[in-house]
Amino acid sequence: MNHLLRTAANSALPILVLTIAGTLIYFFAEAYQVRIAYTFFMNLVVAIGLQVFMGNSGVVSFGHVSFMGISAYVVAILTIPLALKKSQIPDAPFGLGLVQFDIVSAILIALAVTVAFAWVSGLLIKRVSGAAGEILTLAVLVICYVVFNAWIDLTRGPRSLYGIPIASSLPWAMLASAVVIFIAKYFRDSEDGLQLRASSENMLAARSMGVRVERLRLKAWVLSGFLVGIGGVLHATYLGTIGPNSYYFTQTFLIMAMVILGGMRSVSGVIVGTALISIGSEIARTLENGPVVLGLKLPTMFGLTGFFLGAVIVLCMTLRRDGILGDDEFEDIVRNRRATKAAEAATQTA
Amino acid sequence: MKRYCVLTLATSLGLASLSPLSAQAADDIIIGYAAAVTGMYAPYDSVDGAQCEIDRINEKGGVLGRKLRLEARDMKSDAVMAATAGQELIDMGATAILSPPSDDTSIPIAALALPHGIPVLSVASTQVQFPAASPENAYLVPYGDNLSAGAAAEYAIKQGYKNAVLMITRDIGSYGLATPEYFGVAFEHLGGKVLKRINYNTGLSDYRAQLAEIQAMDPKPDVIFGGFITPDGAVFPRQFMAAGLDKITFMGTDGYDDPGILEIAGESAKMIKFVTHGFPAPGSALEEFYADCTKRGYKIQNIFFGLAGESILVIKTAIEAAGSTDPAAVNAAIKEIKDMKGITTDSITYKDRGGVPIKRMAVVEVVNGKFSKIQDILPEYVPAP
Repeated sequence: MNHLLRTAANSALPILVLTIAGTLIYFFAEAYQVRIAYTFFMNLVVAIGLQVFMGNSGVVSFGHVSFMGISAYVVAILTIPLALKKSQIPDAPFGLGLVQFDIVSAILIALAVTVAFAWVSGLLIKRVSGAAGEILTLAVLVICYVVFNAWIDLTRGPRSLYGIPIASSLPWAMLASAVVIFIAKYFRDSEDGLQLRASSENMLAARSMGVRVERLRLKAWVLSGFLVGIGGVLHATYLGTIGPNSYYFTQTFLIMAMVILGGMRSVSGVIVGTALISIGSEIARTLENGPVVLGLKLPTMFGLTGFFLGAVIVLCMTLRRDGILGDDEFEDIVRNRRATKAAEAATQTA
Repeated sequence: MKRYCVLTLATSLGLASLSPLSAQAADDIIIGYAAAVTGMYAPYDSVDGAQCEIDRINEKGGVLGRKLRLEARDMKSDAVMAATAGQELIDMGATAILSPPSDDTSIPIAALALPHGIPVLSVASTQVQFPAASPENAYLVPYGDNLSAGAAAEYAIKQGYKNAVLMITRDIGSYGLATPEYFGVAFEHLGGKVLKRINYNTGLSDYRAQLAEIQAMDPKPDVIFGGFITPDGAVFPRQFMAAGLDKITFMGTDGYDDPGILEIAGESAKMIKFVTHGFPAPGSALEEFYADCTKRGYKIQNIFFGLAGESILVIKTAIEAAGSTDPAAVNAAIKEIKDMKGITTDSITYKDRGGVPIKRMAVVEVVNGKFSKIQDILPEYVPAP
């Protein structure tokens, strides 16, 4: 209970700030800016989901976007109205062409399927670390992409599935990200999280202290698969149309950049990274369209956003390899600042 | 360091908030273009082509006495970004929106535009799924794959080809998967025979496995049809010619319409014939458009430059027919377009076509290392989408 309260207190600051920002945008910004905010919260959910595994276990994962894809596809296949489904996937296996679920049960089933897949794939992932582990996660990504593309009867292959009821909106994404932030922080500071982080620092030492690394890795993998799955639900229920290309390298590297920029070992870092990349991309996007600034017409420079992303990652890797926040959470920064101030005061009085 | 970051961020935010101030006149007719300027679909969209046609129209006095204005946004070949760009264009008050070349990026834009009655036209997609998903306001500017494949089948039969092999790939969406099947349906409907379907992967430099499979066949096919693109579409004939199978014709559609094919295929390019959107033959509207735009300083990359210009022309025609820039009226007017003279072709019909136009196309072959038009074609039999 103590841990629960402490987590609640620690996650209050970021959740509060994000909620205020989101609410302001929701009520006062233009429709397309609301969409950009939604994309931010959706990516935040996925990035924090990824952090739960990557940040705690120290194993880099390229495979998490697949969880997003799986939950999105399940939601799509279960909720598309029957008439539309008949024209898109008439030969759907398991009688899926004949059933339609309401959105809530579809989302629950989607998350359950994602968790089941995460558990099965986790049985393999938990055994390997280092480069082998990373390649294995990459394999998960490629396998899922190939299945999305090739199981045409079920997923419609490279063509997109459309007609998913648009049930989500910015408040839902904000709520989801708040829940995800809380869960990620709770896990990070829990006994399991602490032991897992210890194992990523020094595997042998952790094992010799009795840390059951495999079991904890599986736990983190499944939990982060679940959280990323929520991101997939947010994706499908907002766009209403999905295709396999949304769950492949482009999205993977965008999320990776967000996680690595802020500092993958800290939840706060991921929030900072996601915010910086989202705001930066949007500024770059505005500039690339050739706006008028202070009466000066800028030239159109398409491609500026990609350039910005690349530059940010190069700078970050050169200057701060552990990310902007490194190992620190927001509460650590506040506490450290207080401690420094107290120390200064102490030296002055002395 | 930290303070510096905050400062930069604040300034940039300040700059960004200033940007909606626009230098253009307020009564311009806005045409939005959520274009794939970067990313995997970039070769298929052309902001320049659309802008050039708008320049030409505005020079002649615009439409209904008002100037056209293109607002292009890069959707980075991403579905989420496409929807955001689409929303931005709708917020700006666009009369019509041009959309990217794939259905998963175009359908969300059409869904957002539907409540406003705004027509959405995909500049480069030949996939009939897009209009099928939003029949009220979604259109292709090019023909559908079923039309071009049907035309190719009709031409093949008229050449006396009897046996065909379909090359299937799953790597490039429905273009590599469904187009050969449309060809197969039309080819068999017209009396030909599909001997075999052979799978391949795009982007390889060696197709000896497929070659061996065809060498082992008896009878051998007269024609091999596929959703060929650069470079595979050129590697195939090259290897077949080297193996002595130079009597087989390779047929495809607009994926072959790329000068890169000529360089890679070399002498074997003479085995290639394809159906495409149009051909810049001397005296044609496309040739004139290319020449005029080159003079204006634009660089023409491929046929999609012409199609982007043609999209603008379709919208202009609809605005004039509607006598208004109200999106819903323009949308209704597009549905009535019949036998319109375009840029890539002299005949475009949207009436009763469910968003997929019937267009006269061109059959092209390679003579002396150059593309050369054989004939125009409008097939009688069109396979169901």
